[in-house]
Amino acid sequence: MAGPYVLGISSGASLGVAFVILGFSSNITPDSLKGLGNWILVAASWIGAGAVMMLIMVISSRVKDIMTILILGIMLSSGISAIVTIMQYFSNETMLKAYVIWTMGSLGNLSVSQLNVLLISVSAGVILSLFSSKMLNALLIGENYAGSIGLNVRFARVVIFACTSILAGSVTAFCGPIGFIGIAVPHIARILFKTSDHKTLIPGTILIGAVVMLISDIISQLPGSESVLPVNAVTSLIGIPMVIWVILRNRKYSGLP
Amino acid sequence: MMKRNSKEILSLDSLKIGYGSGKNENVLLPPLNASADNGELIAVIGRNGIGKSTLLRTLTGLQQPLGGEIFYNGKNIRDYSRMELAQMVGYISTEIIKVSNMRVYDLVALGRFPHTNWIGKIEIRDHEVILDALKKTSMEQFSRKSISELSDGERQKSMIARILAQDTSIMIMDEPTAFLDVAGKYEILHLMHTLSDKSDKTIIFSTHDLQMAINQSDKIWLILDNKLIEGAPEDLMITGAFDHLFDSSTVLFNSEDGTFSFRSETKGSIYIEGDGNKRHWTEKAINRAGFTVSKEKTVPYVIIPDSENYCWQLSGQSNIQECSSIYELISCLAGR
Repeated sequence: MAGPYVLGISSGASLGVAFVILGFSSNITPDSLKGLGNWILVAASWIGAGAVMMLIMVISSRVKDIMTILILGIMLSSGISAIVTIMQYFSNETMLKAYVIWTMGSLGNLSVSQLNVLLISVSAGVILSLFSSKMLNALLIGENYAGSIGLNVRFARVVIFACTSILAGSVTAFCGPIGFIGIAVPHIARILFKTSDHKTLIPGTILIGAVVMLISDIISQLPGSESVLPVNAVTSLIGIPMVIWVILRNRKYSGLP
Repeated sequence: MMKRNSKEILSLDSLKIGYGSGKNENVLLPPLNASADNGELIAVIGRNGIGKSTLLRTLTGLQQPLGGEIFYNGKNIRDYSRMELAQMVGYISTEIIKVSNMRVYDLVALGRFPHTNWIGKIEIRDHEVILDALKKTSMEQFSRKSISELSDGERQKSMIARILAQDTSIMIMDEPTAFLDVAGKYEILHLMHTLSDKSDKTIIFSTHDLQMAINQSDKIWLILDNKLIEGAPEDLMITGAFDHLFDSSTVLFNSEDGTFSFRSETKGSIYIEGDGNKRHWTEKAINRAGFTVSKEKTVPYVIIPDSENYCWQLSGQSNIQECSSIYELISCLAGR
């Protein structure tokens, strides 16, 4: 259940982006960013995502109850939204418009130079995530057992932390905080592939995620009409029922991984 | 102190266990000295909360010792890398693993973690070890079953299969029989016994079942508040070491057969006439009811049923009561 959106990691990335778009000059908008600017945007997003991720990890090393962690994550993302709202209030019209459009999410507003940045960061994240599949499998049985079979739990935490921050951060920076894909898809992959092995689940999740995202994007383009819906709204409308279904289906298992 | 013998696989030298560090250091026990030989089945006994689990976690390397040394095969635990240690020591805690979609095979395969490559590929050799582990724990037919569908006993057996697949010479188990019914307890214990006997595994397990530990283990590490006493169960019986475990004003430990009884004010003594199995259980019942069994004839006294007459005769001063079961006999005694 602990998706990046619920835990506030996407919100953290948004905060980073908000600092760049709303905080500096009115000349910077996602469209006008070129070259180095792209990297600044992505880095801000990573730092935002990483900071929230770090907080969540500090909390989760003390609090073992997953429900408490989820609730704290929701509180955290509400707090971040509040900060962003204040920043919005004090920003000018152009910046505000650029930011609001960014929050609606879009797969389309990317230049080639932005795509390059995205390609490099996402590739790095995917390679790291494949590298962590053995560690994730060990962590399925809990930190104690994972340690007893030879996993360096602290190292694993750092790798998974870096991987999540890079992936969530870079995608959020360019496509906006797109919700519910991150929670729903891994569960769908578990149900479809009927395995707990991350060697299968990670590629499976990437595939299903891409498919669901493209379907959402097609719907948001409203085929046969001129207008375009915010893709964030579409993924929420598709994702929420899926998440509810997964929760009801999995009630027999306490403490979802 | 004993000299280090060639079979010795583990030794604790003034080991201090506990939590925290620096000023917040919370040492649970005085320095511990103990050892284990290859292939021994060792029971760790001690009252609740004394630090058995902490000791076992420290031996597994999941927790740092606060002082003193642990030697595996004569080499300090600090000089082993995490992976090397995981090829030497396996661990089962009381934690219950709940993962959806995990089959018994997957769980056992995780035992291969310290032996597989960076992505955890299961090679033919690993597969053979896993099958062998499943076979030794007689879990082959469950290999494709989801672990959430297992009974407590089956789950514990698959956990044991997991450490077998890990291929360690030492297995550390924290209360391996805690959730099990009597039959399950003995099945697991029998398995542990076989593994230590036939496969030469050194098994160190904690338990609250003193009788089981006394009957089955090669050695006992008895943890008391001020020291750790180690030795064969029988040695500890003779020296009366177990007496320190209990508040001797309420619990009576019988050092002849390793059983307990409550010490209560005796309500009187009763003589029993008769022999055999029925006498044995009648004695037990009379003890439970708070009477002692007298060697000399008393009033009242009990006559055990014989082949002709299936009833317990309770003879008082003037009357004789006939009871058709021990249950009735006890009610009669209580009613007097």
